[in-house]
Amino acid sequence: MRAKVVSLAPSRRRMSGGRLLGEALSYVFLLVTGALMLVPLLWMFVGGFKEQWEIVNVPMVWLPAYWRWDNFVHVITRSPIATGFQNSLIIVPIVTVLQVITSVVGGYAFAKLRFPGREVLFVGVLSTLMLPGFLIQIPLFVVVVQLGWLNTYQTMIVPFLFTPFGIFLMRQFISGVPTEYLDSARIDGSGEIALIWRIVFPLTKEAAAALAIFVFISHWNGLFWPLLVLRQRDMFTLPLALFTLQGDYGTYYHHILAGATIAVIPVILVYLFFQEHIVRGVTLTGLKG
Amino acid sequence: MHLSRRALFGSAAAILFAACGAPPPTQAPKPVEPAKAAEAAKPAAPADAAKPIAKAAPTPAPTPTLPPVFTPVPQAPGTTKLLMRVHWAGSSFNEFQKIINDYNATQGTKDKIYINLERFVAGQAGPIATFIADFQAGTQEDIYHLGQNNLADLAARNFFSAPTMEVQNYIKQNFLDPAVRTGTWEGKIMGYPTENQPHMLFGNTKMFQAAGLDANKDMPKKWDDIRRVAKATTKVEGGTKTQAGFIVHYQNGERITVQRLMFQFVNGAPLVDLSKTPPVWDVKSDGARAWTELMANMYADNSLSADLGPDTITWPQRKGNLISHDAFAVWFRLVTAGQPGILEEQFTAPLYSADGTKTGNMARNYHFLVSSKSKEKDLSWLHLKWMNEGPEFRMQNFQTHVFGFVASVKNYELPKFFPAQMKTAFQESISGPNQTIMPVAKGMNEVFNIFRDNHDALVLGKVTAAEYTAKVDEELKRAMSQAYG
Amino acid sequence: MADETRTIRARRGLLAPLGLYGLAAREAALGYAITGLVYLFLLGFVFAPMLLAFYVSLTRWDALAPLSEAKFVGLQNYTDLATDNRFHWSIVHDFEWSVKAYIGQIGLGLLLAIIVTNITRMRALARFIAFSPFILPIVATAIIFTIMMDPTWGPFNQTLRLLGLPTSRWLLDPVSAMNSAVLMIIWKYAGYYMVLFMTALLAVPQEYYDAAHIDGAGPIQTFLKITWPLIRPAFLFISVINVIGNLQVFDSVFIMTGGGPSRATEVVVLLMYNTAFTNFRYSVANAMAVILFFIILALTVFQMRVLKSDHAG
Repeated sequence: MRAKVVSLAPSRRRMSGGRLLGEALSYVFLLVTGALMLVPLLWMFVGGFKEQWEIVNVPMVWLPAYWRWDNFVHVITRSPIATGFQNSLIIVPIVTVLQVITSVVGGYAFAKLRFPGREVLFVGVLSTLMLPGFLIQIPLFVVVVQLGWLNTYQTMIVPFLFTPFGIFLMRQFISGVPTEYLDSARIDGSGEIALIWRIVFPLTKEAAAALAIFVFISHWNGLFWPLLVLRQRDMFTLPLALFTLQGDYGTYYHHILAGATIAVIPVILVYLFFQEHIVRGVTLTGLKG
Repeated sequence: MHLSRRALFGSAAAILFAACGAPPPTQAPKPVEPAKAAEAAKPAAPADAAKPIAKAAPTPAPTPTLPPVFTPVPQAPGTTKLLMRVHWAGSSFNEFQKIINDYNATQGTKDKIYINLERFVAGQAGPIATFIADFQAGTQEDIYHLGQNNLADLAARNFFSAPTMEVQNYIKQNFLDPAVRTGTWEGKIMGYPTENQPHMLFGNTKMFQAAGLDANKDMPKKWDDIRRVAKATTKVEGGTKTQAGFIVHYQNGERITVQRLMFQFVNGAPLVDLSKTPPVWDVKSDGARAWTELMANMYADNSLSADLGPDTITWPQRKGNLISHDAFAVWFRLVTAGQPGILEEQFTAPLYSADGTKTGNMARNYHFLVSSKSKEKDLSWLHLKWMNEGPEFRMQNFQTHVFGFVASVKNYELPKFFPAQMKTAFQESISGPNQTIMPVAKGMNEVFNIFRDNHDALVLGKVTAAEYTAKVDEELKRAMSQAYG
Repeated sequence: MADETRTIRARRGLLAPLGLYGLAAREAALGYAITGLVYLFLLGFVFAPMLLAFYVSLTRWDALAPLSEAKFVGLQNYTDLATDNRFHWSIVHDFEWSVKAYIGQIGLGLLLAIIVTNITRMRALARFIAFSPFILPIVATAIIFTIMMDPTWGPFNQTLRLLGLPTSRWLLDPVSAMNSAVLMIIWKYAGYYMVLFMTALLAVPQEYYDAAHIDGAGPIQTFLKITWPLIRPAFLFISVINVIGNLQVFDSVFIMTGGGPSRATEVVVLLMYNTAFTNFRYSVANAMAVILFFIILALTVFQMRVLKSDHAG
């Protein structure tokens, strides 16, 4: 098998005039789009340092007169943000890790294990994706109440143990692993569980990393479920805490923007960390044809 | 096989992305809505927007800071813990926590009660979901502090437990009658009213002056005069409206309903007939249509403020002249969020009937209520006695001096910050004989939504007055049959 | 080895009726075990609540009274909805939202992906920038856009004025509100779809492009004949999930417009939420959700038929 180099730079070939123009246009387009993407975000970061009126003034005040670190200090010391941060930092990584594991295992089962009725059972799992979450939230809440799990960590974790999305995805990815590998390992005497651990997991690292990023983000920012089941302030997650920054009868934007900035930092870190895996995974050549 | 793992990885990642793009519906109520929540309170921007400002100009209004967290006193031994939730935050919440701390440290030890004070998580905009959740789970608060919008719906579903006859009689004797009626369901007084919301017409004396008018004399009485004054005080500069003669409530169903109710009431054409079940809403009578047509006419005159944004911005930012509003807005719009001096510029007048001969007013209140599922109903009422009854009238005191509300107790002093003319106007209005109340009826939220959606269309000129009347009439009938059916 | 044989023989008994023996039986047994766990979880946390919700949609219940007191009314909620103009309009708005968001998110995402795959420098930077809108919590995003889209004070209109272009009333006008909100959601997700498409595109072997180039194929031909067929499976999934997600949109709309002005942006889940919690008609909201479920199901099946590729996924 020849090792393929997936060229991420197809333009390593001779650059024709048309190519150059195309590339130049691409950069222009990217510049414009990139600016559009970034401006609201930068505006948020800078806004966290502004006074309230600087944020809403006409004409626009781009940079604050002086950088109010106070906003951040106040938000951290006088609002539930710090507690929310801590709680989220405990709950969300746990959910992420658990979901990745169960999705890999579940996806593997539906992709590679052969058993009668597999396709039908998979469609059953798939169908749960099409339910409006709303349909389930309140009855689920009643279930959770019966279990006595209000205001606990387990109520933020256990209902998210499995995710049909994750299973669906990993199934798609794992389908690409050649079955011969697994069969030959079986014949060599490997147990089923060992198979998953020694072969499937390493081969699916990149997809698992991608899954991890997205699970992390969606749970980091989730609001409705915590709103229902976390009834006490010391259990709030970060989005809930952010939510309480709304004032009595008005919204103090400078606080919310500062709080949102704080909330976003871990997500950026997670993305940067896992992005390495994805990029590396894509550039590494597959040792299979 | 060219569909390598990378393509599948791509698919997988794709789904993942999309998956995380579709999390379960998250709820985050807007920073708007019923009774007391307001939309963005934007403190003063420099009035002259034409001057390019590169650096920060002096701030007219101080930037709100988060107050330090006010810690509750610890629970004394031997006391029973009761849960109370309110919707306030920030300094208002802190002020109230002080009062609760005071109770817990003094009277509470005698009553053997400890009040655990919390804030609504969902804010004012959407507490019902959490109410339901709590109620089902048995984690509801013992003491509710609620506006009356949901009172009928909740009371009809046995959500609350009424106080003893002794307490009901006390309330009846010591509180203003309209305020008591707003908390009465099926003949039972459900709780203590906590403040009052007289509804008045406000105008800006400077804007009158600039149009060659004198607010003292020319504050409109007849509805035709409202139209005329609105037109005269509308300013259009270079094709853009910079000042609207009449500030409309926009995207706020409760405000719109209240306003309509008031105008129709003083005009002798009540908006709703509560003696029938289901209640009958009337927007088709002559008196009712006069108000609709006034709005449509003012839109045609380009005097309305809808295209400038919500009243929460146009009023405090001097973008409009006349506005009809509840008294609480004086504190929340003008004092805390208004440009400097705007409070003193206000001229306060009662609302008149279309022919300018009659005035009246209306009560809208919050109440302290006790949950029907509370395990400590008697203790809850015992605490509320301390909070609400005289001679201290602690809650009234708190509401008037911290929030700038008008009181719901008879003969109570108005807050000092109200200008003298405003105070007189409020006092005359709430002591007058012609008083009505915000209806205590089921389905009020849907009513608000109907008025909001249709009114917004009307004040943007998307529908005519006749279309509005027909549509609102039909939708209100449907809403009532659904709420009472 | 002997142990293995013994274990295999032991399993033979269980799955023999299905015709599975030996290694195959062992494999299948694990398959059933895992599937069993998944279904056990789904049973408790998805199917049970789902069945409850289906049942509730056949009752008249406000979620405050005990469920045992819910009055059974059969299909009445559904027949009511069949004549409910407001519900019909919410579906129309939902579709309007979904179509526009689909085109914007997937279109822009794919376009960006193609461009970014073909440039030489700063690929990672471009990816990060395009991704960044997604990581914001929705509360912050909505606030940012609500401020930026303010007709008088917002930077959008201020910039338009500077450039001498006509301004818009964005979220405040029924005519422009939907498009303004969709703009936000496209902004938020375009980067994601870009990265997704990128990973799919990067899987296309370079030799194919080289061969096409040698054969003299132009960019469009290359895309249609080579790229598209190979990313089709990925596209199917992206498409399916996009539709599922957009038809259920709630938070973005709720925060930015609350369904207004004048119901211009009232989508189904928003109406559901209000019906349940503002109007105390919880079981009617459930009926709406059930109807939405079938709509989504139908569309998913449709997409799978249209976009199905030849090889098994």
